[in-house]
Amino acid sequence: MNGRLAVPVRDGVGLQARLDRQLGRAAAFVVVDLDGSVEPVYLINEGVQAEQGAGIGAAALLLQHGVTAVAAEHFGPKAEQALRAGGAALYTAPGGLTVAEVLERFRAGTLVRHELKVY
Amino acid sequence: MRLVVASGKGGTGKTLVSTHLAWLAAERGLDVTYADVDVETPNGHLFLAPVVEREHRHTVLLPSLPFGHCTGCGVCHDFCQYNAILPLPDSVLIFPELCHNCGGCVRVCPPAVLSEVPHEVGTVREGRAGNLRFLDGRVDVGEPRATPLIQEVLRRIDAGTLAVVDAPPGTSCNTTAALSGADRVLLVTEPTPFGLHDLRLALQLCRTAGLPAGVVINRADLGDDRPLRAFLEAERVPVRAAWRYDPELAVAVARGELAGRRVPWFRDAVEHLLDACLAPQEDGRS
Repeated sequence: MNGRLAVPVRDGVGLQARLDRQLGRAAAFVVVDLDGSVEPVYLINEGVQAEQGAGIGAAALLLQHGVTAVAAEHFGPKAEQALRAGGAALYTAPGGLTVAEVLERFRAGTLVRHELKVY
Repeated sequence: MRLVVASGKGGTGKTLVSTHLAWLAAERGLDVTYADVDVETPNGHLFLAPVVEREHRHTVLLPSLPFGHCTGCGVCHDFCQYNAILPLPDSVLIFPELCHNCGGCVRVCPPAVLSEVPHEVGTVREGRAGNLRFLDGRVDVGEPRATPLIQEVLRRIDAGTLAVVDAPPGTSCNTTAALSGADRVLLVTEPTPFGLHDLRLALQLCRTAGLPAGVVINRADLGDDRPLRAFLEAERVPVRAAWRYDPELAVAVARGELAGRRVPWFRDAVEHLLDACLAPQEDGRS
């Protein structure tokens, strides 16, 4: 499986970190290389304090790290627009999961694809 | 001298006070401008009934990538403090509603392919109501950028003249923009828990900005004015005027008339307020 999956996380480290409810203002992101060729990366979200546009800042950070898929509980409209523009696939993950659990469901193909909302 | 009439809470009587101060100053023969910068709901014109002589559509500049050739370097994104621009491999995604029009992204763009395009944000009107010079701004519906329009209205005030500025309520960017350049501030309040609560915030804003503020208590006999009076005394904030509720005032306001034309005691009260505003201040500031 190619590409990189990003998950916004709140507490814990590595694959045991738990999903953050927020994307743009998540504490950090775990980026997992799906073919396992690169170790997972833990990215502190500097934009958590941003006055505005935290979702866009987060999207820029993730795209910079070559993310091709994002699993989150919720996507704000701007973060969604930014990530889609960058070509990332979006998935909705239920709250409270660890990164390992999100990854497992992603590989099993049971994560729900986040559909494009038409406003 | 620029006198800004602000409030914190909405509906306390900013427009009542500012239109009357400007009108009575003009009646005295002073060169005075009334400037309505409550640009989301500008309604001072309803009382002053100005003859509008000029209308101007105000624009701000937004970044755009007109011809492509973007290298996706991301320098613009790194510069932007508002996350308004997202770098993509060979283009950028611009979020105009987040842009604060600083122009920085365009100036730092290494291949210089970003450029600025004008975007209309609202209308500035200039006119006269008798001897009074009239200015107001009206932001377009759906436009999140009101401060550039407020600044444009204020820029049109002639230096050296008396200006009475009708500020928006609250303590946000819009109010802060309206207070910028003020020589004096009048905060209009009412003796209700809401009036006092929001007055505290407005006073804090004035103090942060280093602006001397006095208070006008509207409808002073409605509610309980003791907490308000105690607060003003403790904070040493001067009360420039206080007047009672009079149904005659409410009737005039509801008709869009200058209440001072039909309620003599109110005209006298505002004349005294104008004297207080024009007099040298206790702290020696002019």
